[in-house]
Amino acid sequence: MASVETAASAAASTSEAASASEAATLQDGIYLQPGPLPKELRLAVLDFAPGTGTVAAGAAVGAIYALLGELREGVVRELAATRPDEPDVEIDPGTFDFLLGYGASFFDPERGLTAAARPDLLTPLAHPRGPFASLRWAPGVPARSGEGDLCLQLTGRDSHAVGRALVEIWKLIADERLPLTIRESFDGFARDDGRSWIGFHDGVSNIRPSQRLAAVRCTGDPDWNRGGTYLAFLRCAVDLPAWRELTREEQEVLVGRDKLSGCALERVDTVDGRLVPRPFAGCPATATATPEELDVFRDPPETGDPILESSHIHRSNQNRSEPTTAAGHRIFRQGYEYLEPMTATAPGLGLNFVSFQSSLEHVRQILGLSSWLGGVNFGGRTPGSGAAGPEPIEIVDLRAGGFFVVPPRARPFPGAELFGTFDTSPRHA
Amino acid sequence: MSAPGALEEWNGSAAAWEARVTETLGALDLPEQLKQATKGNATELRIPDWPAVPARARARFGRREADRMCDERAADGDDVGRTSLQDEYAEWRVVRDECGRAVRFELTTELADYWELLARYAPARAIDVVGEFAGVPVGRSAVFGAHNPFGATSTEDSRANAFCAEMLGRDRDGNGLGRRPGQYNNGAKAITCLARKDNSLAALAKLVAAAAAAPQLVVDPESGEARFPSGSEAIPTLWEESAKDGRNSDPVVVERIVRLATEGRTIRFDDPAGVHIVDVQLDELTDPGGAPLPREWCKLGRHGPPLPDGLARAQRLELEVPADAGFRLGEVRSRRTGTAIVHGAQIAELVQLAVYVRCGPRDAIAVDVPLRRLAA
Repeated sequence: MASVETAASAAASTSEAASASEAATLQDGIYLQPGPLPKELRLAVLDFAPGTGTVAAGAAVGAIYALLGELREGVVRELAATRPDEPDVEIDPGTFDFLLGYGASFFDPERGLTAAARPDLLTPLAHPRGPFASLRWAPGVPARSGEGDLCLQLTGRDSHAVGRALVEIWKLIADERLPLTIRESFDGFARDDGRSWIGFHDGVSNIRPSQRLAAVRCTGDPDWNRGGTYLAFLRCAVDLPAWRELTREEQEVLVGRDKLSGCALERVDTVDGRLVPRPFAGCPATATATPEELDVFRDPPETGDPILESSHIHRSNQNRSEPTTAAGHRIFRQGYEYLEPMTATAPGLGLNFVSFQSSLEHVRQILGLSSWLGGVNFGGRTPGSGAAGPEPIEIVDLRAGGFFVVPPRARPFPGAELFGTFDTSPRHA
Repeated sequence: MSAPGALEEWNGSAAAWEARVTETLGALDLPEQLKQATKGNATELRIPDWPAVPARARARFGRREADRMCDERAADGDDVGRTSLQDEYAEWRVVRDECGRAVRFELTTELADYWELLARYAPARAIDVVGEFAGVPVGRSAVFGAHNPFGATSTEDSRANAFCAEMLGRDRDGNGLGRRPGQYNNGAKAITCLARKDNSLAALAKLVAAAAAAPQLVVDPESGEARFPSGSEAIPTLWEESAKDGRNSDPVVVERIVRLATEGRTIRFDDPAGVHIVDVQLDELTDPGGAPLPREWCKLGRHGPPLPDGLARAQRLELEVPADAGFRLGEVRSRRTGTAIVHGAQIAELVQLAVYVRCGPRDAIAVDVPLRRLAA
């Protein structure tokens, strides 16, 4: 079956083949191989109707999964021939990938959707105090925004590909009277300049491809998710006007990078009371450097400078460890920017933070520990700590968010065994 | 050098601790990175940090079962869960009511080596502090067993021997005595200091020294690029029994120290050497109604006055819901799991520990760095 181009990369070496074999248990839509992400994201959350039984629920998920499988092969049910002598109309195959996850509410025993126990750290984010120590809900966000019994991550080469998939699901739900509601969906796009809305490079020090599988793949607990993963979705709004009030130097110290080249800072000097960022010596100028040359300087080494440690790129990865080191709390990020329709006020924009990790503990720790991102909203010194560093800034809040367990591939669909009614052997499709 | 936690519990505590650390390190075949390190040439701070909850137990038994096992006590009250599973340089006990519900959580990172010195040089203080931990004054036998630390024949060595036998269940060389720690360090009446041999100063010193003695780069099996090894990749190359893979603590310490050693830096323990509590995510705990717990319910102790560097140096955590609050610790809810507190591990996972390390600039020491090809 064809897939979006960035997802497919033939494994050449033995080790690559072994990794590919392990990676094969992961659902599509997790892009461990080097290369750009598919251009478009649409992440939908769905709820089962109250009173839906486990058999009906499983059948509904199976029907949606089958529909998406057909659609990815180019089959649009509505365009099947219905008159003599006319051919079926097919569309381009492999224009999108889809990934199915289950949210905390799916495991609520009172819902009766599954007999399986909720994975321990798969908890709702909808807490009135905010989901995380320094990352809070934006005012007026509806309850459970971003959470659902199910999530579908659709990623594809263009907005039509992912949009069509979601609309086809809507049609199926309506036509088949499936006990499901598409409650919300969130769109986003990948930027090919590697930058975020605040103008800085983002994701350039993500985990190297050879290490991604270790960061992503769940090794058990619960056993039914062995070979699967966990998805964290956080739709983070950015207060661009507040960010733009800072000077370039102030921004660079908070981020920990040079704004233009993306090079990590080696140190921060104090000159006339100002903090002056100093990128690593030898970091090539943007105009002449190749991306490979710049990459060397973008992954920052560990530092003992408390000002640098207070920057965003260090707070999000203080130990700078490999993914197999549990206390490194490494996660594989796969974010997509978003821009809401413009109004007369400031643009509504931000990042659909999407990460995959072997345990949700790592996200909790990154966003909970005070010397990591639990102490501040974005970067800067932890208030009240007495530590060095610039004043922290609050520029990010949450518009939606949810945690989901993403079971491994299985027939007829990932997580089918949760419904207890399907033959799941052979285990992996 | 100061005593762990920057404590000043008797005259000469700093000198005694420095001598103990020096002696412990001196027993090892130290690499140049440690030998040449001084307060003058190794000043940059590094903070490998890790959660206090045992990662190996959770990986082996699954989260729920491991959490239960970590608190397990034998029929005779022996804390078998602690001695067999709590291996992250943190050990805890959970005090429970008659129904088995948690009412109090106590966690320590205090190294037994320090306590042996306290017993040796300040026995009265040791007895007082154990009484503070137990919540009631205790007699000398709580700390010294049958030995009278104030008797005419008592010596520094005999007090140290008696302390180790009573509180650790082993002699000063770490040899088992066929008995378990006494009830003021086995959780029955108190938990005083780390009791496991792999949660000791000797273990920590060996861990850091072994990592510093193993500068290396590895060839990534997929990309073919040279890079620093992960903790898991480096541990098999270290001295025997110097590090355990799968812990939260050892791999992150090894990974970071190997990196510093490979860069040719001098490396030393920060002053004071010890394992310190650097963070407690109390926001993750709520009362039964969802309100945050008052911070004063969580007491961080066993530290002295703050040092000029401002670093956190607590070595003990006590969490208890006051009697007039209308509920008990067992009704406190963990936001992380959405469940009530049943096991100590649910709190330990919110406690972050660190060992402070100081290092010098790159290339201060000439290092022969082997390039190791990893098996596919």
